[in-house]
Amino acid sequence: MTETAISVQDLTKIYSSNNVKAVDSLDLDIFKGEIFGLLGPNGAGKTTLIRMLVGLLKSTSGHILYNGEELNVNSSHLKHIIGYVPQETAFWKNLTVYENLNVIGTTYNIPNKELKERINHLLEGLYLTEYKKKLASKLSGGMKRRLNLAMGMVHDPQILLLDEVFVGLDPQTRNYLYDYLRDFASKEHKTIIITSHLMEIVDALSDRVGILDLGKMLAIDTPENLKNTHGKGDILELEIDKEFTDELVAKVTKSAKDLAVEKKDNNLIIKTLNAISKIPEILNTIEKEGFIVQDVKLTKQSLETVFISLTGKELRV
Amino acid sequence: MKMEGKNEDQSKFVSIAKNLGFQLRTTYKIGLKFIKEIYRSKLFIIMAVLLPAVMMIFMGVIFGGPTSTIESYNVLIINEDIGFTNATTTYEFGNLLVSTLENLTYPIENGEEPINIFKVYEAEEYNQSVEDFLIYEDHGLHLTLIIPQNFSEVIFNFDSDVKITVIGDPATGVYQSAVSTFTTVYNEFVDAARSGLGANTGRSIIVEHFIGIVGNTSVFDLMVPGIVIIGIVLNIVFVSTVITEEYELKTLEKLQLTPMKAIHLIGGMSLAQLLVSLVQIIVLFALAAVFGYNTTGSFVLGGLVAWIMSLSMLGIGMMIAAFSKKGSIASAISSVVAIPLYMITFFPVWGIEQIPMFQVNGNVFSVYDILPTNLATRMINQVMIYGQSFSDLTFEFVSLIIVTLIYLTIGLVLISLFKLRPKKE
Repeated sequence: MTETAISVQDLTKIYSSNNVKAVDSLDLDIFKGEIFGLLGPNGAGKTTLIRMLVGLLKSTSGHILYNGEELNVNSSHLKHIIGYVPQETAFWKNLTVYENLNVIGTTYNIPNKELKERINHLLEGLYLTEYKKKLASKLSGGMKRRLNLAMGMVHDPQILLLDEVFVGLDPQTRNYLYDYLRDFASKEHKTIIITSHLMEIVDALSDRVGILDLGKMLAIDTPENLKNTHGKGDILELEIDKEFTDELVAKVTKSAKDLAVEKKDNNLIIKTLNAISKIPEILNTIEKEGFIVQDVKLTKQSLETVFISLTGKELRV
Repeated sequence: MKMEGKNEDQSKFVSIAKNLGFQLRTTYKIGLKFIKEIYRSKLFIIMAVLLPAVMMIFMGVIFGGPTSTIESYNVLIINEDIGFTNATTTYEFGNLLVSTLENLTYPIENGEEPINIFKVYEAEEYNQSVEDFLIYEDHGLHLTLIIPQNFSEVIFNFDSDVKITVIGDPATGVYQSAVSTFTTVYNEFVDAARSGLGANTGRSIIVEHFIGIVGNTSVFDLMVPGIVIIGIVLNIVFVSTVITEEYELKTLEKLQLTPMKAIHLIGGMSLAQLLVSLVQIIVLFALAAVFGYNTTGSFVLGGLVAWIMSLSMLGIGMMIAAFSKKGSIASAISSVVAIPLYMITFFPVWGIEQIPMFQVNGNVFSVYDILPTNLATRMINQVMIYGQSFSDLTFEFVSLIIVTLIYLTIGLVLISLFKLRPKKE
């Protein structure tokens, strides 16, 4: 049986200043050892939800339970098991990388020797060892993000909540942060909740994904199931060598199962599930009609299309 | 059973000791964090050390400098002696004493012009305007003598003590030497007068009345405690800005998520504040000494007053930070709050009287003492100018500690309420 790490029950947050319901009667279970991706546009309520989960923001109503224990901001025990990495990098700029981690680690009452080992392990894992004596203010953007992450993990939390941690990272840093989190979750059996607007990362990293908009959870499932259930398929764009008529459109539509075909200038736009498997039949049909395909462009269906399908809105950053 | 109980007690003790160790370690590390940040912050070095240091140097150059050698002691004499008639002769020993003092000169060497030991001024009665006039016109009144009505008569009553009142500022070196010189002259005068009349069995007594700021206490001497206090008051800006920036930059949130408690934060800040103010006090007093700070008091005791007061500035800084969302706002509010605190440190220089709020065993707590800078400046003046000791100032020390604790507690409560709790918005 899958154990629940976090249970959110009928959680609501209304901002009294503008009377906006940022989170609306939300129910959610996060399981132990899973990576849960939280998707949604700006204003969807992701950050509000995360901040309530870590106890930085008061909820209007509802309950948050960690391993069955109600969240209490004064509980030292809960603070030991929760790690939070905020969207904004937050550190003491006049302290070195090592000193920043040491201050945070000390507050968790980690013995000096163990803390030192843990910090060194983290620095190694995040490629920060050679910068440990550097002032945080002198770090590059990517390094700052990694330090930010390390500060949320220095106490070795069981549950890690990451809010838009991939923002502003160069591809290289993004890749090894991705690998690091993947290892962290699988090898150490940690629970991770990650919010991001970067679809491909959430898609690849998450065991399950929840799509949040206007404070409501629209769908929760594995990325594959979401795409299969809510996606409208891949988009295949074919550039034809010469002018064609609707007759070709009709023939191509019939060439394979479940194809939606449109004509756009000299291009055929085909929407279908699992387009790769249907490409040979489509190309054969076009060649038989005396046309040559000059270029093929395939856009795989993504969580973004799932989101659009669910909300009718583009994902916004 | 007994062994089990003993083991339980031991493990309880170990657990308490471990917990205490954790609390102290966390507080120390938070304090160390602030100290490192302060040490690496150029802005702070400029604000907290250089600014008051420049102020001290500036005041020292303008108002300070070593005390010049006094040629003549400025003496104001109020001669109330009505004389004494014995048989047919009237004796006016008061007038005689005045003229003796007027004519007393230093020994003349190599045909030099004679220099009077006392420069004598006379007045009908002793009042502030006479004293003020002399202070400002002659750059310092060193001594005031009041010759009583019955002065001549008492000299005739050989068994009676001959008393004369001396008023002056004991904190000044000139007063001490002027009194010493006058005492010699006075004793000789009384001896000579009584010997001339036939007998001398009584004593000649000088009754001293100490008064405030006269003599060669320079404006700079009066300003030094204020400047030291101002240096520490500047820490309000730093404390409030640092806490608000922690809030603004979300590092406070990071700490909020840890098992750290508000008391660790405040404890850590107190450690940093105490270290910083200690450096400030040492630097500023050292500079004051270089520029001729004329004091008979204890630097350690004066510094202790400033040191205790520095914690109240931490309390005020926290109060401001509790209501500020941005460092720039905290800095602006702090500057406004600091103004009355600065101004009050110059009350002794301006001669503004304290307004009593309550008294305990004759010790007055002034309305202005609610602002700790007033109480501290007053105390440092009493220590440094009037040479008062810890036991003389027990009431003031207790008051300062209570006032400081009140400020710290209010700051702690407000910071906990407004900055270390889950937000509503």
